Amino acid sequence: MTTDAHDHGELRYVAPGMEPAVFAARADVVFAPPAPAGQVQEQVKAFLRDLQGRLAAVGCVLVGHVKGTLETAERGSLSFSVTSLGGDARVAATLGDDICAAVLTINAIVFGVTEAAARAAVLNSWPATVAAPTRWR
Amino acid sequence: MLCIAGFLGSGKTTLLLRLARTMTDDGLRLAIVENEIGEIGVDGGYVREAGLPVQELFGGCICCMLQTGLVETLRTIESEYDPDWVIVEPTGLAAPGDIAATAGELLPHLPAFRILALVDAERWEMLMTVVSPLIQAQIGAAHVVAINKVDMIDDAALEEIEASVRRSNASAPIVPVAAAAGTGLQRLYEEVLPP
Repeated sequence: MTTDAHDHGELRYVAPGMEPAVFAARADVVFAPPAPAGQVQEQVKAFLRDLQGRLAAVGCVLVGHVKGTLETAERGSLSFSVTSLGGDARVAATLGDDICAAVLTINAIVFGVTEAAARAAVLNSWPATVAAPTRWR
Repeated sequence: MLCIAGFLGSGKTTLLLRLARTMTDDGLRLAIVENEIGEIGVDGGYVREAGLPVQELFGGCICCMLQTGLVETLRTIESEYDPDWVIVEPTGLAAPGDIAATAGELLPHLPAFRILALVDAERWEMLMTVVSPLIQAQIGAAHVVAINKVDMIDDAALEEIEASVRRSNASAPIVPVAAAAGTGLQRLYEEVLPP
């Protein structure tokens, strides 16, 4: 799990107070009982809608991107992306049913909030919308 | 070397995969460099799934923090793959002019450095409100500008964006495209890689 602590030379192109907040993480997700593909896909969409709401609530003015993947060992994968606070998420999946476990990768870059707020939004939104024990690495 | 610049979420990876497919179909050998700010990336996986050789640089921007990493990566690619073209996808916060300057200074033997700037038509007003200097810098450094997601806007909005792009870059060809739908890409390809 990382946030972005380095000094960006390119931030001379970003107005003061509008520096991006970066949050990137991987997590092990367990579905017990095994979940059908449609259910997992709907939960990821619910997560992204909830996350958009949480980000807006803490003052986010621009979503650079929130993108990621949910990869299983034998049941395919799902990729997702949102680039706004209100628009629909783009989700593409090749998932099969009976999903037992998956690795979540998420990369979020948002503007107008602190990195702590961005991190909290993701870490609180996921368990609120995805019914699966998750261990963040 | 081709640098595909553009703000976060503007469709850089989608366009890269489209252009790369056409280039490999034309018999060109490619290598891809993916750069993401966070230390955990996503886009490199998509490129790898497409069967393209990819080198990833995480945890910083190649226009500033990872300049040395970029140069080392390009040298490795040159010695191990010897590609016809290297396509670099920097972070959406990168200033491509700075990348070109670094490459020109440290790798003077590079035969070409083309910058394709991708503009997100769907979020144009928002981006020009929040990160206008960055967008203008990306456009200003470009040899070719692609206005992406034109299928999401009307003709009047496209004209407005084209006029605004032209104010930041007086000479670059401007090509409207919808990378996800695959429209406008042939003309873009011809502008990016002129015969």
